[in-house]
Amino acid sequence: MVSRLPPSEHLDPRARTLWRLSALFQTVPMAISILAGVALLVWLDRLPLPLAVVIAVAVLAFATLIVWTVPDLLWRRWRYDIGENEVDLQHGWLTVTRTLIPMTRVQHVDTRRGPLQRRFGLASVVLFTAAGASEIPALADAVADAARDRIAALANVQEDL
Amino acid sequence: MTEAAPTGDIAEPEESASVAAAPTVSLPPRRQHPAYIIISAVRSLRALAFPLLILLLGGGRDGNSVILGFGAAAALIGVASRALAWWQFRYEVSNGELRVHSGVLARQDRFVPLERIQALDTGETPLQRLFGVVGVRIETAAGGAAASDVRLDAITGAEADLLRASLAVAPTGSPAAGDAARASTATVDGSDRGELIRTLSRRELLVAGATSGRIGPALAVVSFGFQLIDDIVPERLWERVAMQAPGLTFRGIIAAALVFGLAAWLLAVGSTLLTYSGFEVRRGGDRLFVSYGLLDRRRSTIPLNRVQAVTIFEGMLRQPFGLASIRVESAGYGRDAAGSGMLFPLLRRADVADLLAQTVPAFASAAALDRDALSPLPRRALSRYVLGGVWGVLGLTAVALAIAALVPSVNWRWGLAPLIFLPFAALLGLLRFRDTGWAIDDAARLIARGRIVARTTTIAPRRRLQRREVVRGPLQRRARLATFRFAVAAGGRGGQTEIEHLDEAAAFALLEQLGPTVRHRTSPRPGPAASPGAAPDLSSLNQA
Repeated sequence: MVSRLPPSEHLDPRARTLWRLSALFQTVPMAISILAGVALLVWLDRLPLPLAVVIAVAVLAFATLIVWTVPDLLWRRWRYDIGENEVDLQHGWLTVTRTLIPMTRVQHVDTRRGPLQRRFGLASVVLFTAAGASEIPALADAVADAARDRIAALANVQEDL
Repeated sequence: MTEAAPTGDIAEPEESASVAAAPTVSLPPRRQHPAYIIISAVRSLRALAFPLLILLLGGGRDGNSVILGFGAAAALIGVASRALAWWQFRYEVSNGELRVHSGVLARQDRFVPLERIQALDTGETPLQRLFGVVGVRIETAAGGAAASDVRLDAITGAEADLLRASLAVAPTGSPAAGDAARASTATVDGSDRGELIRTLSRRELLVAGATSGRIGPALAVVSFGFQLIDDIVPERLWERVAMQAPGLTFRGIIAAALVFGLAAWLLAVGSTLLTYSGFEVRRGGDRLFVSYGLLDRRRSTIPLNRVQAVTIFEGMLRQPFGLASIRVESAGYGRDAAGSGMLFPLLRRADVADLLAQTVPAFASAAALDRDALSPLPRRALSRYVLGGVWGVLGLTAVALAIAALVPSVNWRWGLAPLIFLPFAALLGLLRFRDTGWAIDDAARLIARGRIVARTTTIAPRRRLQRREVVRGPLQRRARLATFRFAVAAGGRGGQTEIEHLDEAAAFALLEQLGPTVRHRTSPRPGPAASPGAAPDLSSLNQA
């Protein structure tokens, strides 16, 4: 079965760092507020200290998992192929999703660069079909531009929806 | 309003696939009927009226004048802004485009090429009928999130016919394109709207209402009604009733549930009667004309080549009697009310094949109605379907128990009440397992049958598939099961369909078999990029 082999291309390795950073931005405020709440409860004698320590350790472990481990797992799973007839995507860590989009259904294709992505010299390629958008996140600038041009050339213009 | 006769200008020939191009009638810029101001103001104020009513009923006597003053000011501002919007809104047809100019502060000009127009629907609400105008919605082919359709809320019927005639693009691909173009303008601009295919009889309408199962939304309305009564009826009266009431007995609860259920059911019947009364399907050339509704008369035009998928629904109340309803998923449809893509609201299952052949022949698949033609799920998926519902009920029970335990006046045992649904959930799981199946028929159409509550059969030609997906959760991966998902170009729920818990190998086989046929035989990479086994028998059916 051909399709069961994952697509061959990886995202840019810097994607891991990018995702870790953005996970950090999202997780740190949450972790700090939970820890502050726990500290407050201890200070008010509403929470026994050992239990508070257990909670704090659990929160820190969970935060580390989200910030350090998950981006790596996601990156390992993320694969793509831009074939002549179809775009082939695979992503997801717990739930693995394999997506195939026929070239003839692609209406247009964009590259996008967020502020954080720009720092890393990365870009996303976004494909639009009549049934919504799909994204290849975090490719190196040049790779993303090449991918966009290749998809645009292969998809060319549709006369029928 | 600016009433202008059709000028009958011949625009440049359209570039299209057909041999002869259609002459398009241009339409000079014009405004809508002034009734637009009232109609759209009422529409936008209706949203405000509801909270206002609640405030009035709920608030004390002294607050009312403030609230009423606020309401009047809002109404005044609303009408004034709608009047400005009406003045600024103009539409025209020229150079093969529909052009819409709108916006009070930020001007907006939308140009829609005529060949991008999917369908033109007209409808009239009682308010529109009062002013003798119709509402028009023009569906465009822009996929994705943006509100892509053009809406006119108030133009006269004559204007609507004029617009319809100017927008009528020649059907592509027919050999006698000139004749076809004239025929299609004839069918769209007036009384003769194609050949009548099927109407809904009064008896069928009643059965449709009785079995509609639209009890959910009706329940919400009924419970709001009860709440309103609760607010209006003086408290002293309630107290007297409460004194005489036998308290919270089992029999009392059952009786209340019955009354509640009956009211909801009657409401569901009523709303179905209003919606689908006088339902008829006509076909003229390559367009379908569907019209229905008692107060709110809707007419929609569906070009056949825009139909992406057809879905057959067999509701829980209908399936035992061999009844079904059919919807078409057309690009641009589905973001609106559930009825917008209805092809026929009630017919015998045995008649489905006939109706499909007469209306949407490209979707008349024998396999869709044949249980034996569908591949079943593997046995190991059964426990997942059954347990899925069981876990849901257990979760609900846990929540109910927690609430019952926390509320002091309620015995905690009431929290166990959801367990009543356990056998039903398990049974539904079993039915879902048994009814799920799929096939790729001889014309390369994917047939996917499944059940959430109603049994649903989707027919989608391979070349209409915009995206295919195999999704595997952690538990599915352990059991070598997968979920296959596909999407066609339709806005709403109908756009995406899934087959849950099929064998992993079967899911990947579907992923592969439903791909586009290979255009160039040379594969860019060494390896089996193009499987020679699947391609040849399907290649003749690929997009021309």
